[in-house]
Amino acid sequence: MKPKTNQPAQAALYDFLIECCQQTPNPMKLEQVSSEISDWDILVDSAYLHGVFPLLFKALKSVETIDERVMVRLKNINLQIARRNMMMTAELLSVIRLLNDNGIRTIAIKGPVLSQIIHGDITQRQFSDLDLLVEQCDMYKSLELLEGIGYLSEHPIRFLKNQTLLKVGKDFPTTHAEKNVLIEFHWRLFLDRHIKKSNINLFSDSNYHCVINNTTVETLELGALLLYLLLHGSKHYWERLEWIVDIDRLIRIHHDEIDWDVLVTMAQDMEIEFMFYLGLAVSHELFHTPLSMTIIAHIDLDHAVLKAKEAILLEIKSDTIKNEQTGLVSLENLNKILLMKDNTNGWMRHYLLTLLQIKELDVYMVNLPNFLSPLYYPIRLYRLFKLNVLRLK
Amino acid sequence: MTLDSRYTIPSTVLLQSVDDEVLLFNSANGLFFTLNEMGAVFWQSMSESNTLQDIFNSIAQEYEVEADLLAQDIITFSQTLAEQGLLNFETQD
Repeated sequence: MKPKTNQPAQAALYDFLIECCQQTPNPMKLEQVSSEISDWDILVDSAYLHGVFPLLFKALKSVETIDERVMVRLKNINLQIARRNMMMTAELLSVIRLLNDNGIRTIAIKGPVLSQIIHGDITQRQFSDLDLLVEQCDMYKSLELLEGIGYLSEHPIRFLKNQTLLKVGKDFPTTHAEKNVLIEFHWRLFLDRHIKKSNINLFSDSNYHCVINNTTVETLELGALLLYLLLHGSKHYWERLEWIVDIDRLIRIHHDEIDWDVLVTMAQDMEIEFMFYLGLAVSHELFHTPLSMTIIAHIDLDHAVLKAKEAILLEIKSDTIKNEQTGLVSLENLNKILLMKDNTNGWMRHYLLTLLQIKELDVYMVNLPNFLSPLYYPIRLYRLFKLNVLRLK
Repeated sequence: MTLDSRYTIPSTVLLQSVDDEVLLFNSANGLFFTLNEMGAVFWQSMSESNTLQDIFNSIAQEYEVEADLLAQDIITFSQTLAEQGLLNFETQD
């Protein structure tokens, strides 16, 4: 059980963590606030949960007043993260080589590639799995190749020939137990039930390429990557500081390479302006992310975005102090996410689709041939009945 | 092995600076190696060359060191790396 801390110490802990995540942390401020921190364990655990431990460690190296024993412990944790990241990165490069050698265009998202793009270093970002995007038509072949090198999936890969799954799902996870590596294979990034229409060209000729260990890796075009990260973060209520840091650094480093007019139009067309501006607002508030006057003016005039931003900042502060992160499964959080929907129609649509639309788990119950796919509707009703009514009894 | 030996670095080997250390990871055997300061200098030179002679020339230009000793150090270091699968040497006919 963790000792109770007093209010000023709790506030210091939050302030300290935020300062460590700035692009250039202020050493004077860190020195000053560090003297108010009574429990380094809480800070370390919070940083780890928020996915920003490497940034905390990097910032702490400039603070001379920190106990040497604390620094030794932090150095060990940092080394463990770095080793794990190296192992995951080597695996990513190896899998990409295998797929490319078999004629499969493979796009890496988040994970080591994002770390390399925004920090220039694969060890500065925490990640627990790898995300790869391939064309829908390449999914089965990709997973078949992965099975050949020891990966196993929870569901048989023959499901990847099921047209209903390909329509209602977006990814297929597979794991290498011995290496302890989970790869999520995506054939799309957004579900229809979350995004009304996605007009992002994921396989664009202008996709971004970065070099890791002398190997060129393809990722999304930078604007599309930013849009994806903004949606991903908003969908998860920005519960990890790491996701907000991603937005800040990506914009700082590549601001001029992003066509903001195109991005804003895409957000409008996809009807995701709320989530788009919310992510930018949170990042701007915490890390002073450079944004155009037009974007700032839009945020300042959007009361819903401002209200949600305040709620998110309060939640991050509370989570940091309590040293825990609330799971997304709670009803409370579900409602918060629903409140993020752009309008009332959005909520209604979300509720109805949640109830009636066939989900991946319905398909995984039985692999029906494509001509029998309408039978997934009664299967969905049966699953809902079993999940809700029978559980109540 | 001589200074004329040609080598390649396997694609399974990953180099990364972490804090004040330089780590090598070989995904072929899952082993990590920590390089000391001189080892890191050797490796940096190795990644930009393809014969031990190139490494010798590059390091001899930068550091004041006895030629025989440097040649021996490079060969010993390279042999150790090769034993761990971190370097592949071309077999000479």
